[in-house]
Amino acid sequence: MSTAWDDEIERRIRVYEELEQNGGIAGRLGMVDYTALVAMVVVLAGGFWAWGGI
Amino acid sequence: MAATEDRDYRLAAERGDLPLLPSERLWGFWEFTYANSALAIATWAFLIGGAVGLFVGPREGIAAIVIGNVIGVAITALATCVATGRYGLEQFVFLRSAFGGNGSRLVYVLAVIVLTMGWLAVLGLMFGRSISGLGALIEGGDPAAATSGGAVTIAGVGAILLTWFIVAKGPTSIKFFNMIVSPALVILMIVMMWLILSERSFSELMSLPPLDPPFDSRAANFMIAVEVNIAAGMSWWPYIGNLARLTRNERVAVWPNLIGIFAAAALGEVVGLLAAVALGNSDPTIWMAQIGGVAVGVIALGFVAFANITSMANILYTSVIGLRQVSTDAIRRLRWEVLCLVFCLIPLGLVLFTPGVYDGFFRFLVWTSALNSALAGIGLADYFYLRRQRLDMRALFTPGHDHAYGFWHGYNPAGLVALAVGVLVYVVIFNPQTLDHLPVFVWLSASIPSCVAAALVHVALTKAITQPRGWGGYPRKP
Repeated sequence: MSTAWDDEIERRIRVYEELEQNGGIAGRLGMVDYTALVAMVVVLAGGFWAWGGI
Repeated sequence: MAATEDRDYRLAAERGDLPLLPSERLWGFWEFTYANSALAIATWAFLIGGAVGLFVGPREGIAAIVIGNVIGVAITALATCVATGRYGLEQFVFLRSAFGGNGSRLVYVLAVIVLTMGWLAVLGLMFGRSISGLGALIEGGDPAAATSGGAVTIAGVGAILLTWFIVAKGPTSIKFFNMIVSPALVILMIVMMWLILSERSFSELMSLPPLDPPFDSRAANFMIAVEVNIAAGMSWWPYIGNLARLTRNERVAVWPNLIGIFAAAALGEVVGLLAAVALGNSDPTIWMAQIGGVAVGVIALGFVAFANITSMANILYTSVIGLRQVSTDAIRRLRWEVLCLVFCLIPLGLVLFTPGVYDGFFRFLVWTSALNSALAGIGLADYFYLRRQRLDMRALFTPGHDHAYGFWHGYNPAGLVALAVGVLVYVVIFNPQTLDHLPVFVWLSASIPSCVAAALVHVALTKAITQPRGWGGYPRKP
């Protein structure tokens, strides 16, 4: 038998399922974000390696 | 839905029992940046910076701090914050998709309990040493001579009990401490930096030698310093996923870590490094007294002592919240105060019987990276490559093992074997206890090979064993 707690879990899961089906998830990381993140790591790690590394 | 019922469900979601809906998320970009800066700007940054000064001089040390932290934080944020930020999931609920329900419990025990208990003991002892040093300064003695003995132990035990008392009172008291301590720690760092630079020029500081380099090879010493900092960056693995779920979307869940945790922690470590190398001692409870004289030393030591309590309260609270998600009904039925006290018993034992854990804390930190780097590799491979960033939320919240994430009796053998292989690769390349290492360590570190090996093994075993048996709900391709 379904409880109120199960119903609430189901309600919340459906919110996300509908968002995914409609492509409505806001603020998803895109190619620009991943490229910028990798570039930041490479520039900082590479730059400081050149400045103070062995 | 009744207002009271709605409030109860919202509270349950905040505590991790339910996924948070997008409308219930609290933090935007700057709120999350502030929150994780408050966590990062803590006394452990001084300790880690001081430890770096043992291996390399300031110039190489600053480079190692930036390189290690940016790599560690970026990998950890991607492995934990993207999924928890998208779906509003508690981190160890999310991990059921990679390890199974019971596997997630096992990971919690290994990664959170061991790590948090160790940090509670180290920070408790730091509190004890600060109080003891402060007493010596007031009496006109040498604080360096007051770093061990009964007073340190008693104050360390008192610190853990005080932390228990604060956390038992709930999150409001923790927030109150955070609001005072975090800004004050920033001021303390600036004052310390100013005092150091007023005594020595920047170029003079950059030319100072390391305090106690373990090897003749500068390259090996430098990579050990980098490895300590990758370990520091990855040591956020158990905590930041559960903060990221409170953010409004996955972009806000990831980027602030690079400002808050990376930049704030790096700043604190640089202050610790410069002070340690300039004053010849890596222990902040000693150099703070040396650098500022009696008046500034008393204020700084007193402040650092209580800042430790804030750090301890934050990690104890986060860990006990996670414990509720992975524990049995019997443990969940324990009163909050009792559960917190049970969690403090082993740290109390460590302070009483193994106070040497403070001096070897960086070894302890690096040991945790053997685990965290493998966990991050498995998380990245599972969520980004194997699942293409899609989770079956219904399976995550279905009890028992008769669902997609049930795997084998609640354990995903592929994830657990990959974890063991990652840890093994780490300790074969670099032994945190003895600092012995293979030649490849000097070029690749140990964390990165461990992360990559765990990811590859997880993918290979998933394709060979997990997917053919229909476990895990993985899509047919890749």
